[in-house]
Amino acid sequence: MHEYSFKMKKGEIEIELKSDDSKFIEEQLNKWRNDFTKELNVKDSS
Amino acid sequence: MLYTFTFKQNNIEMEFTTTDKDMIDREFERWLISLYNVQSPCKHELLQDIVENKSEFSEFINEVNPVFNEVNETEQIQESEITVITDENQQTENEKIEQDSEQLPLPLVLNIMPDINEQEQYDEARKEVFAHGAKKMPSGAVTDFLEVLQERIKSTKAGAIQEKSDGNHKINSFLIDKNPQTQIDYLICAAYYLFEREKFDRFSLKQINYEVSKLGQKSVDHSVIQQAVSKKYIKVVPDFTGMADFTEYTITEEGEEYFISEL
Repeated sequence: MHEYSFKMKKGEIEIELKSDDSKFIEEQLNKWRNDFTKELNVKDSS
Repeated sequence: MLYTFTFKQNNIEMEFTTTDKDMIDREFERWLISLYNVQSPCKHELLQDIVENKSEFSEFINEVNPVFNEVNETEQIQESEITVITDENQQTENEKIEQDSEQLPLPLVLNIMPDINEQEQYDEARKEVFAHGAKKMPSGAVTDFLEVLQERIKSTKAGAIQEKSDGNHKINSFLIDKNPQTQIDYLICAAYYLFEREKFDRFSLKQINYEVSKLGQKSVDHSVIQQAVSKKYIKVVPDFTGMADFTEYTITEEGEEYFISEL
């Protein structure tokens, strides 16, 4: 069984997610990556 | 073995740690591809020039090339870092997590977006690359980029080249029970694959054609895209800034239904 740990920190806010559910972690990572790159694209275009 | 993948963007940090090598491989590539999509063109060209001179990396970069070619035209510079850490220890996973700050090797830092915000600096860096070939890279972030790739290849027994050869068959395996006949069918197959397997919630025509080419098909052109849009299988992602250099699409529920039920 694999272990997955996912931490996000933005300014003073920090979130840590640990799980052995790969599908759930992968979904969270993908969601965050998509949101993040969208934000970067908007910044980059402005 | 424990793998850690860290991303930093100004005041935002993300760290992903796992014992699952396949997962870290997939996520690392997805982050690279996503980040290349938001880089300025000069950095893309510089990185591409350098990497193309390193044959062992070129196979890996070919995977990223479709996105390389669709770089943002803006010159906005962001400071980013990606860190890849591999732990060779055989301790239990919990012990590793507790002690990782002491036992992990020093992280290799990848500044995906090096601080080259002037054409002159960029030209200088290019000159240095061509003068010294792949043996000597410009100092700083770009060198680290290659180191990270090299480390990545070393840290995974399969390596990037093996991944490339396997990767060519990923979409074929995904579509093993499907029978696409028309160009729209192939378009939907590629779109569904990118969405469902590669987890891209949006994609460009070049990304579609990269996958379609793996299926041995000729490129999908804009007329096919238009047909798919008119049939509501895919839709255009609105460009609210009006500054996007290429159109992005996303697969619709109708498109997913078509893939699942009709193909």
